[in-house]
Amino acid sequence: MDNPIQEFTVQIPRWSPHLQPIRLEDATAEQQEALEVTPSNTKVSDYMLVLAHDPQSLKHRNPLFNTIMYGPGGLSRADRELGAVGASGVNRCIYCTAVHASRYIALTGQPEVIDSIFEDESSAVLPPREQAIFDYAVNLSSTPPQVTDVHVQALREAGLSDLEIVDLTLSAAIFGWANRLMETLGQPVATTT
Amino acid sequence: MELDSVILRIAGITNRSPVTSKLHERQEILDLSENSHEAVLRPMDPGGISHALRAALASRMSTMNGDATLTAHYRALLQDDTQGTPELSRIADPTHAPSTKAGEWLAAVVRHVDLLTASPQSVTKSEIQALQAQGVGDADIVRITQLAGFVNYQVRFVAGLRLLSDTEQG
Repeated sequence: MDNPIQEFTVQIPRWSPHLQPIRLEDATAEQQEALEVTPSNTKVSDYMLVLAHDPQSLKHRNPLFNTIMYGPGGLSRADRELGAVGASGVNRCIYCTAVHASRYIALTGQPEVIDSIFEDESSAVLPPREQAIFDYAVNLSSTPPQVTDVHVQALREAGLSDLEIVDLTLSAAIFGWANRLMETLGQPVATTT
Repeated sequence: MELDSVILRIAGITNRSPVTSKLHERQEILDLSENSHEAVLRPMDPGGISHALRAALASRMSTMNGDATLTAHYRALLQDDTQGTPELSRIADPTHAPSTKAGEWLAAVVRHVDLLTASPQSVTKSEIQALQAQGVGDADIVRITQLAGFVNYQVRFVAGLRLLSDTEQG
């Protein structure tokens, strides 16, 4: 039986869907376009095949997600990942947290930042710049958002430009979306070999 | 170049706001956000989730997130929709929990949207199975989830832009 993983981890779990993914061989032209299926790209995850039930939303969501997380300029890749981890922790999306905490560690070589976050969650004590970024993402992610001008001021004092603050806002906000897909349409389970 | 989008209007950002010069560098994101708004509120194929129901649910989620301006935007979308009903207007307000007398399908959808907004971590496999048992199809479950995901993204993007604009250093 599939028992969902409940604790934060950097071991990336397998994602087990609650809904039947569409079958790629049955995909309509619109679904194929949204999935960006090409002759050289035929490997599609179950997660994407579940989202393909609604191709019009998927078609815009995927490029939006990729542009926010990986687009050029502005906030660094690592800091965007930290924003994603802050949001995913509030929403307790174990899968998203594992993926983005791993990427953060790979980009920065700072596992201790992630260790603190996993241990103390939203009250984690971090170096000043990481603290400002994490606190902003956490407070933006609650429902309703609790973020205030104090959090923005802390980001400015940590040296973030207005464009970088826009990018951090986007990276946390897009996980307000991604978490709600990932953790309600399926669940994280241990990988089996 | 003029910037215009639902998100900028809701955030109160005009072409004279200093933050606008930064947003020109994120035009693609504003455009994709606008396309996403269309895709989840007024899709070409709405499936079992009508445009009017989507507007009512979006208003409900905006209120749950404490955003009066965004709520008014979705209220107006609902009002302009010819498929709007008194029951949908009530659903637009999160203090109203539709009774199963109004229809078990609708009650299940509204309850799910509330969970997606306030505590997505509490949605388990049995929640999804309960929705399916009420006759909510798999594609409609994905549609509702994308709508909730988008609105919760939009609320936070707007909140950040407002703060940035209000605390502008010039």
